[in-house]
Amino acid sequence: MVDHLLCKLTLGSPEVLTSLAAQDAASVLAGPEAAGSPPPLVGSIDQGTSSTRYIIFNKQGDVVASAQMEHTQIFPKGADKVGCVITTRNQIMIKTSRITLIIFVFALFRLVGMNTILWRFMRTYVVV
Amino acid sequence: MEIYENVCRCVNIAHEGLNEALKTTMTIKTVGITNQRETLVAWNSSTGQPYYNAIVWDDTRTTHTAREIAHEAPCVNSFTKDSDKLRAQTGLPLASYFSGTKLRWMLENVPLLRQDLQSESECQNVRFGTIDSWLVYNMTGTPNDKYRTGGIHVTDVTNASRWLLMDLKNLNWDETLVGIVAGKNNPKVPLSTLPQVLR
Repeated sequence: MVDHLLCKLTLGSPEVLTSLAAQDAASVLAGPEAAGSPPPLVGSIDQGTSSTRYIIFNKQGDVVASAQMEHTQIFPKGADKVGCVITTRNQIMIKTSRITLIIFVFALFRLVGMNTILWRFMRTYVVV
Repeated sequence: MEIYENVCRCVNIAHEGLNEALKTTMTIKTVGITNQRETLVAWNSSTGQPYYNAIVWDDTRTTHTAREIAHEAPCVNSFTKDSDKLRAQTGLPLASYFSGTKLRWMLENVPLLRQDLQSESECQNVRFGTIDSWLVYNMTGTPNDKYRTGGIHVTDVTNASRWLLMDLKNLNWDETLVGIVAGKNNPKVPLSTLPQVLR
């Protein structure tokens, strides 16, 4: 119960942070009138099905800082129970069908590939 | 409410963490939102309170609802499957996945929501939205302020396209689609209760 209330903070790499601090210090020294403006940062809220993430990016697209937190999900047993249902069966079915699709596509490629080779082989043979 | 609070907590902790690490205050230019898409929230703008828990995209409680809509929707032609009746207009098959089926489920199962939609004065306070709408609404206003203005009620076109209520041709809510999906035995859902579609 306590675990999901924890918000996990992750900071960017030391190189990214050092460079950001240097840019920021330079902009402060240059003043608002000068060309040096504070390094532009962009925030991104990713409100997902089981957790929420907030990530701050720099201009180069490096992660400067991020925080993540899970939220309560309600899995009702009866039809009258309220909340969010996530049926494992459903997810497994989605995963299974994806795997089946991938296998099918590979099988198809293989089949097509073999046919192509056979067909080319035949043609080469005929031409020769 | 928990989701919005968690967003605030994540934002605060990331910024506090960064400022502490750099020993300065960093500002950000802008914020983007990506969200769990078809998950639906209904709330009242005068109280700022949701009518019900959010119904998540993979919640299968509306499987039967989707079948009902498929059965009730007008026939396109005799070759079209029931589940494809709205596909030409919305691009979607009729399945429990999409927000419109969750909206209908709420109309049928949440008494206060039904009651408010049937009341002329309360009806204008009803808001439906996906999680992006709910977050923007909460981040841009203060539902409990003196004037109870709340925030802005918007969504983007890609999220709107997952409701079963948006016409792909004009990228806006379609009154006929709303009528079909909401069901004729349920209270009418005015377009003003849906978020403005930003394009």
